[in-house]
Amino acid sequence: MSILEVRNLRKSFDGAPVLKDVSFSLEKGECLAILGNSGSGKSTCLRCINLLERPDGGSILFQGEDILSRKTDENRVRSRINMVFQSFNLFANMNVLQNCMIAQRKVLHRGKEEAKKIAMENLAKVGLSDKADAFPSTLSGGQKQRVAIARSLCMNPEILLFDEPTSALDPMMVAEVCNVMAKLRDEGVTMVLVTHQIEFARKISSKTLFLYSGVVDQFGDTGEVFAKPSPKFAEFLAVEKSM
Amino acid sequence: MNLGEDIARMLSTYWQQFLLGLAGTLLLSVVGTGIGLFLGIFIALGKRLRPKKEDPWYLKIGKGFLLGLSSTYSAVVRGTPMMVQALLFKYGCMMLGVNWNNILPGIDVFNGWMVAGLIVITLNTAAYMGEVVLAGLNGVDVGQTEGARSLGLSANQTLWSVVLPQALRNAIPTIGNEWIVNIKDSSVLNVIGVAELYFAAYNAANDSYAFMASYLIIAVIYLLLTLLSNLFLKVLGIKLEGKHVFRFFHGRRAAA
Ligand SMILES: Nc1ncnc2c1ncn2[C@@H]1O[C@H](COP(=O)(O)OP(=O)(O)O)[C@@H](O)[C@H]1O
Ligand SMILES: [Mg+2]
Repeated sequence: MSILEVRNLRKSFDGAPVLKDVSFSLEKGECLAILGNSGSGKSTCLRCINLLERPDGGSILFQGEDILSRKTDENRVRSRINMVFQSFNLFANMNVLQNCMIAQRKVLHRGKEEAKKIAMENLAKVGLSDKADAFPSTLSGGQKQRVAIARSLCMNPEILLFDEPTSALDPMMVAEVCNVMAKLRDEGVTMVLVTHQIEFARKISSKTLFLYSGVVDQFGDTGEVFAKPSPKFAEFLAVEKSM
Repeated sequence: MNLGEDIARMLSTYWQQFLLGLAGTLLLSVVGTGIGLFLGIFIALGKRLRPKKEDPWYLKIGKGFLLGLSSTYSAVVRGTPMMVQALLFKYGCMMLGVNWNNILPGIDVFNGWMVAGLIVITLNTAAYMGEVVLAGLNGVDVGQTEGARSLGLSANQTLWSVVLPQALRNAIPTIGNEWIVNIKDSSVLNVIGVAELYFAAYNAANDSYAFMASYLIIAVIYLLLTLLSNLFLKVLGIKLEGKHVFRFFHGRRAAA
């Protein structure tokens, strides 16, 4: 059974269709890269999986369970499928350690000491043990994004969704965040990555999905998709490369 | 008659009354602002309720009712003078058989009318604080909410742990303003006999016929109070600013 199976997903905003028919599946431990032009619906797709948006149609099966069903406990699903945002979204009223502890405490009901221990372990993993007491506003963009990743890892999520995690970063800081993601992939963390860094996506992902104005244009093993790009994907690659 | 002599005479004769009046004014402004802020949070939350089409019918009705209630309360209270509200409260209570004169009788300042005054200023402030908190809540980046929800925090947990603390922190200058307004505007509560600073001066003036001296004394006290409060708020602002605690990524969602 696939860990995630998206079938015929549809979503419109104010009558304008953004996702027209999106289907794909993901196995445990895989890394899926979603590529596509701005406005093609990549973020909307991730936000539907994270239940930040409610799709108009289709289904999303997570470990075989239809998470769009009315019976689903949305908060439990979100705690199992975490999202890392382009804009970090660290809690501005909490320091780094508190950022990493709050959901552990309130959602997973872990004890204070346990939550702290797990937070420190994950901060160490992203190389930020020394920033536990710092407030987000004092961190660089790359540090913020690494905290955001650590914060998600503390939840032991089944799937990590990354929505352009490096797009708001200076070039200098992109590498430090990419290194963390590569490390996670090597550890077998299941992830979905939306990015405009084609070369990184190609290196890190096992599957690639090319989204073209709300429709899946190509989906398959990364090697094959890049070896035999569809005309639209080939054009996309050419334009991205020239930028 | 010499104004300087008058002032000296008033201060030596009526200093206790002025001090009690000052205590009354401080009590009204602090309690009114504090509890008013607390109630204002709920008014703001009421005004943010939006019945959604996927809500079950009872939630739609409940949300609609609370939305209407908080919006109406806010509009009515902010649209009428506190002096009129105090009088309506006094005579409304009398119609219901409650005379604040008979509650805690025989005490000079902290009598029934002071309790009535505390209720009026608190209920009045709550409406203004509702707007202050609402603006604060709307000013918090939606990314904060999405970050919290995406980790599995519930809407309530997100509100109380993430959004509201930031909203209140950002609203501190406006909250402080409301407090200073209350220091001055609590004077209108004399219409129902609340023993605050203006009330003390009024009585002292009528007792001694030194009108100018009496009102000059309280004018200076009011001014000192508001200046000190402003100073306190400035220091508080600098203390909090120094920690850079609440700067965060702005912009709703990046364009792409
Ligand atoms: N909350 C929203 N309300 C209205 N339109 C939206 C909303 N979110 C996204 N859209 C629109 O949907 C389209 C796809 O957006 P998005 O999923 O963010 O694309 P991508 O991430 O691929 O750039 C865009 O045209 C965008 O304007
Ligand atoms: Mg996007």
